[in-house]
Amino acid sequence: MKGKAAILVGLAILLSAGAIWQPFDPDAVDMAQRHASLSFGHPLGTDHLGRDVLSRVMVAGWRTAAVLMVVSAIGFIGGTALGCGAAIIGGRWEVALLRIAEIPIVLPSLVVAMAAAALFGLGPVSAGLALGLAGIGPYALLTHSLTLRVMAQPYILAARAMGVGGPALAGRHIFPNVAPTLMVHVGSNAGRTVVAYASLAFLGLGADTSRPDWGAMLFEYRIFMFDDPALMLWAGAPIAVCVTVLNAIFDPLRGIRAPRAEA
Amino acid sequence: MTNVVSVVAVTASLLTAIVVAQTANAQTALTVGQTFIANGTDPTKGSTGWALTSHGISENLFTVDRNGDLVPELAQSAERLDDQTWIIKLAPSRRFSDGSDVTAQVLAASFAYTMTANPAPKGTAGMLTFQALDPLTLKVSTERAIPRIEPLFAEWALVVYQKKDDGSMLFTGPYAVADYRPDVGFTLKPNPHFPGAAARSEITLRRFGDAQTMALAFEAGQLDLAFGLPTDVVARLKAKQGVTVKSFPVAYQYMAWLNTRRPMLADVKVRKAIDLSFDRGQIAQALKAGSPATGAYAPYFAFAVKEPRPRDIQAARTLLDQAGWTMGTRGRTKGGAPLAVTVLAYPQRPDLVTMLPVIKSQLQEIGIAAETRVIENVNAVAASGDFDMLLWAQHTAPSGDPAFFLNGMLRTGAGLNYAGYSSPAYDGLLDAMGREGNPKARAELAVKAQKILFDDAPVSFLITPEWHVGLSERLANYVPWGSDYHVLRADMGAKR
Amino acid sequence: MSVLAFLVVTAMPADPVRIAIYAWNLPLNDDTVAALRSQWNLDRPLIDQYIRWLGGFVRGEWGTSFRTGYPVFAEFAARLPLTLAIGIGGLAIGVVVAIPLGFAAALRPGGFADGVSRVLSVGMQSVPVFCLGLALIWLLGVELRWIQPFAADAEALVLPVGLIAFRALATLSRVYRAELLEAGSQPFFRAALAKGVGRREALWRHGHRHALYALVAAVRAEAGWAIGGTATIEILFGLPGISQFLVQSIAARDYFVLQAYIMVGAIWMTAMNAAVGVLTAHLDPRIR
Repeated sequence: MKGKAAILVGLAILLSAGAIWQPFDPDAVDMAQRHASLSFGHPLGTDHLGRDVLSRVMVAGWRTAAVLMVVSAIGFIGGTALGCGAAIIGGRWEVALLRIAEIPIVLPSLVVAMAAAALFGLGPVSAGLALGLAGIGPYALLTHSLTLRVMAQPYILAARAMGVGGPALAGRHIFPNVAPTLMVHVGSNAGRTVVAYASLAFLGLGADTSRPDWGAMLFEYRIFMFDDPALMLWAGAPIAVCVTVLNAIFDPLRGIRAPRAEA
Repeated sequence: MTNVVSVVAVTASLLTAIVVAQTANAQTALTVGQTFIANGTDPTKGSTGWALTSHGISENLFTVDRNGDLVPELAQSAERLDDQTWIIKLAPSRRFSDGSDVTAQVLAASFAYTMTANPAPKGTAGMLTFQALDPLTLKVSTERAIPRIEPLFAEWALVVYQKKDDGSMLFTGPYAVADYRPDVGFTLKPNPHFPGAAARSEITLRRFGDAQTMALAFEAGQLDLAFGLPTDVVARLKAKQGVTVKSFPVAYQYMAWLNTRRPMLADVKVRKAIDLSFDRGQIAQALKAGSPATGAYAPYFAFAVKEPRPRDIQAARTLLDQAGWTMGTRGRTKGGAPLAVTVLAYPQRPDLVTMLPVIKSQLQEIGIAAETRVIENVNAVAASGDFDMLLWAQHTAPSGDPAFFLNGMLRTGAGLNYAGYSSPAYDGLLDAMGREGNPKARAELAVKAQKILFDDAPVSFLITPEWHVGLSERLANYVPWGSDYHVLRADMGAKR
Repeated sequence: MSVLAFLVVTAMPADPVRIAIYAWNLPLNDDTVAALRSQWNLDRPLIDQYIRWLGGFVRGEWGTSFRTGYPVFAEFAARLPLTLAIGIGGLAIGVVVAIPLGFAAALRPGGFADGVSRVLSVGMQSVPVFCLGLALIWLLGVELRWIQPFAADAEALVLPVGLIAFRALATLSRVYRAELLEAGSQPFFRAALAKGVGRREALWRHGHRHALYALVAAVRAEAGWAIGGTATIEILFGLPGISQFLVQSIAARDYFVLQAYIMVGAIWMTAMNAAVGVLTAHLDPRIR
């Protein structure tokens, strides 16, 4: 468990590095340095416009990390609020909240994300919001059932009898019991989120084409499949590595037998 | 288990249906790939008239041949009655694809409709009115005086068509539309009433969303003709057995419209600075083909400007300083607002998309932050004026004459004046050009008009491009003309 | 769901009337604007708009595409068969192959079939399909020339359908295997073994139905992907399906298309949920 946590922190540092520093301006064009091979100056070489590939991969990594953070935060916070809230309030509101939570199950989350991109443009935040909101339903349902189970425990019944109500009950007793399971579920979807964002970026959807994203780079570089295949490798490998590491830490098959939204 | 079986059966039948539908005419037809195809068959919509002519479906009264010379097509001759009245004689025994005759009556009706439905044809001579004197004689009156009428009727907006009562359109070109599916393509059959139909082959015209996919399809041997291959694949494909790739200079120009209605770009200093920041040589290098533009026209035209456009980063920076945009650590600002523009391009011209990151990088050098986007509906965006900078590809001398472009796209209030440009001095030069019939004097006026455009910079001319066409063995003898106005022609490949 | 789709057009940042005027080359004046607004019922109260819109949608009046100028319903009707063919085709093949593969994997955990299914599962989850698709176009289409990925006939569908099938297969075979193994740990299964029934037969007789139930439930999740997730495949292979149409429409702010796409996605998922519901009720081991 400790090893996994260390790997996760390592991955987070690696991805976030692009936010602070890159060896070159990722947008700077240099015609004298087109398709440069690997060198000390350009560790991953340069692309067809002489832009430093490592810098672009790093910025893209940070953008992917931002999406992951937004999606996870929304899934976790939204799922807890909806699920716990429904269970604690009960009655007609409970039914209504659960109905809302079921909407995204009826609509593929990538369709929701494409719609959001159409309306608000495609960026890490808008994509993260869309993917996050679209994925909230299953978390809410899960939290709801977990909360019901916790609430049936004798000590909760006791606390309720003593007059501990609503928010205090949720914060002190229910949340700590529900959080770990929910967190693992949120984590198990992380790999899928990375793939979903890469897919959105690959499609482009009228986004700013000059901003580096792994998926967008694959779309841009695919024409060099024959002449400079390394470009596709540098854009594709980070996706594969990132997803593999995330899947190794969290078991992505965990959610499959429970209801879940698909990316 | 039976459920699974039925699902498989349904799928199989669906797949079979698609196969049958798509292979029905795949035996002898030529397959042509393009990134730009006509948006329907209504020639009065946007630039559809041009696209239909390019597909060999429609024709004009006059046209530009392979050498760029203006020649009669459906007309026989044109004669000037006075400054604003002309008589056009039609060629006899020309027919629409249903066998009906091309008459002056039909043309008068359809041209009159075109004038109400499309702003483009008003650019050169203002409103036109038509009258059929006899079946082969058409009288034309123009709102503004023009020295020659032939170039006007070679413009793509004035293609010849006949609108049937059911709304369908008939044309006269070597190919007729058998089937059209938006975003998918055309199935074309030889027009039986065009001479030499028996020897002509059917054509499947496939539309590709982007040039890369088209290049992959061509590389996989799926296309007889791939028009507009991306430059990046050209070197490799030229070395390949069994296919031919031809590169050819075109009379198109790549340019950037600078929207003068936008507050930031309303300042001529900012527009000048942007024009000065462009390193056209670097852009041409990124495209791996073409040369820096010297003005509105390809340099071999008599009315082209010959001197190269200057690049001067220092002067550009000074201009921006003078305009009140002060340089900070993160670009230029005025009163806290950053100097930022959005640059648009469209995927139907893949070169423009390739140029985006280069232009972004060059603008950043003088402290302008640029965001870049690719849009699908460029005509609608251009018409709405909802853009900062728009990269654009334009055939600037489609009728072998400078007037069409200068009048149609930059005259005050012109239908296609996307930059919202207005200059009395410039309009005055165009009026003088309208009265001048001598080609040499017209060329001088055209050069003067371009110099005004350089000073005001509502548009920045960037590249005179070179294009590439990929050909299978069957079409190895195909000769591309200097534009994409006549891609599919009567002399294509013979029937197999 | 229909509310959501309806709100898409209401909430859009750009005015659809303006887009339409420029897209269709209409004269820009107050009359045109008023005419379009009343044609689209934009001058009515929101609730009224919604009811009229939904009524029109049910009758197949989905509006006119800004970009192509054709009715959106006709555009979808022309493209949906292709999307459904590759989606359903890929899923069906995935399901049909997942059963024997999952069964073989469960028969000998750690054996060859189990290894194949495990590698497939890890691989398909780590590499986005469009990456794999790019690699296959290069290898099979251009280098080896085994398949013509951009042919004008059904050959062009081999790789797309194959990719969807592989993706479904990867998940479904693992689910099926896991359920079989779970059945294999039950007392009744050991009892059957003790009676001298072979492992293969015991698994089939006592585990298959149980596992098939789980597999069908998992198909629902894959089905959601088969309509939105395949957009990258349609773009990559240049297939004119509804997702490619959507992507091009989004770049043109063609909101009626987006609206229709959301509705089609919702109808597809509702249909799949219903189908899965019927199948699982039919298969539920507790019911018999």
